[in-house]
Amino acid sequence: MLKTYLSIGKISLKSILANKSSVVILLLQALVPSLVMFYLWSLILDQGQTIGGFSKNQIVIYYIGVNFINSFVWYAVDWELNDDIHSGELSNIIHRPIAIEKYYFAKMLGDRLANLLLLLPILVIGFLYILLNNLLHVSLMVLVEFAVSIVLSAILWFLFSYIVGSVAYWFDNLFFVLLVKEVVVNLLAGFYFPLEILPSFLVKITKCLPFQYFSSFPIDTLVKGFSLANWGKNTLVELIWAAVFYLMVQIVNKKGLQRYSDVMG
Amino acid sequence: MGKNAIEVHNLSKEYVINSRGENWAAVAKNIFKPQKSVVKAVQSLNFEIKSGEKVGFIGKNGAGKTTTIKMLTGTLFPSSGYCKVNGYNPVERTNDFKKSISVVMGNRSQLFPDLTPRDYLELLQTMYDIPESVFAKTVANLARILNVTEKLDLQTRKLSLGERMKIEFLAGVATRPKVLFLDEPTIGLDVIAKRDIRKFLVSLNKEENLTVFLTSHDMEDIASICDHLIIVDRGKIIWDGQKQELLNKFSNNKYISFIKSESFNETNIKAKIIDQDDVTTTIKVPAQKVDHVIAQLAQNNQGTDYQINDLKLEDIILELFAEEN
Repeated sequence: MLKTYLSIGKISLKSILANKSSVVILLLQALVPSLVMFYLWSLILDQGQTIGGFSKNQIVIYYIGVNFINSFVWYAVDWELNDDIHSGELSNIIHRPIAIEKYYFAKMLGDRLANLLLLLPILVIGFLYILLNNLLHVSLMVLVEFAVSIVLSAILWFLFSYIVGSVAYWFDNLFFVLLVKEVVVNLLAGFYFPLEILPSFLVKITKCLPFQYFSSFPIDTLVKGFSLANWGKNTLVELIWAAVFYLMVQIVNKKGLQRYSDVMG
Repeated sequence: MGKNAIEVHNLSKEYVINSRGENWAAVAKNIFKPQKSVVKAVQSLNFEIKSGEKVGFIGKNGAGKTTTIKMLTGTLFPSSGYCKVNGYNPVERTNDFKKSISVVMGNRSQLFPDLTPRDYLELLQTMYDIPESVFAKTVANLARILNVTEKLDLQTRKLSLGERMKIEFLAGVATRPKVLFLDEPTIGLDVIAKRDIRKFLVSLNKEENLTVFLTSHDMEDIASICDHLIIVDRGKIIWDGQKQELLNKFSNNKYISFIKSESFNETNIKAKIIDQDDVTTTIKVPAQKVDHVIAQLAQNNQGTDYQINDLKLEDIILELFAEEN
């Protein structure tokens, strides 16, 4: 069965690489926000100030990192599921000998792998820039923690987005719901700015929510460096969230497909 | 032929529909208290299809054809009753069941537009766990029959509608299903593509004993492919039997078409008028009275250019619907 999902991932990867417009959009999506944020925060923190404990160098790396994590992790499975449910494309998946959630997960892996391949040259340049300018000191251990965090955030993101997309089983149009969700999640995940910039009570709230693991936590792992115990504790919480989301995925799948059958056939 | 490929017992499907309301007040009220109504798409269907049969499932728009196919393929759950396909209950959606069927829908492509048909076929080969060499041989053979060998490595979006549809067929049967469900498979295709696909299905049925379950509004599809007809109207079966049986039932009647004369008067026509416009009229008469009726019409100067036709399958189905109403 694993071979099947690898093939789905391969098809997804090939589809991205075969489509020139999606390659251009992908590069622009990754580059433009990073460059804008780089310029903006370079100006704001020009005099050696810090914000939320971040120095200029750290915040520049934070933004570059967040945008790259965005490219690798944040696959819009919610939008895709919404489209597939309402267009009836889901029927094409239901009658195949595959599990729906695994199908979308395999698609995500292929899609993200395409991102990784396309952005690799830029990544290498960015990494060399950081190394040559001595902007960041990271141990091998931190790099491993960072890599693990990115993989876990991709899984958590997928499970969360899948649940959100499944709401389309119950509602006619999720367009505005998904737009609002993007803004709220981006904010709570630390995509717009580091969560530490928020008032302390809001920081406490965001630390109790799963969204920080989508981008803030992996990039904090790289930039700030946690003790192994602290990183392990956070990762354990992330895994618990993943388990909760996984159970929710099973429930929405079962109830959603029943609902699909009742009203959307 | 022998054992049943499909068994359907009291199969019903009801949809819950939210009504929107006619004005803004009704729309607003509907947000808080939705007005729901139930549509009976399929009502207590009962039929059996033997393995290797080619079945035409016929009905008007909204008759419940696609809903029935979706229940038989496990996409929709029945509201009541049950069905078995290849011995499986589709509701359970087991992989063994899914591997034993194939679905081709004329209005919904399953191909990947950015990739080649071969990419899609390779995915199916893995998905359905078919040995690579066997699959390659099957695909090569089917592609040759359907005349699409040179299209397999072109980007799908660059293929014509007919070529894409042929690839859908190829993909549908390359996975070696026992039952092939076809929903309006020739919609929008030209006569050559239709002919190729019909020939392909008939030969495949003969060679592989493939059970074909076909819905189509194109009666040529039905007439040239199917031997067993199930006709539904408003979710109920109004005919279930062999095609020849149905043709025989109406073989005692003929249609006479003629150009109306200036003195044409409808009240003078002592037969059932099937169709008429400003110029022509078609009437139905018992076969043994054809000569007599034409003689009378001519004598009464009702028309000219008389043409006698057997009832085509399309006419017979219209007759059946008329009888039902």
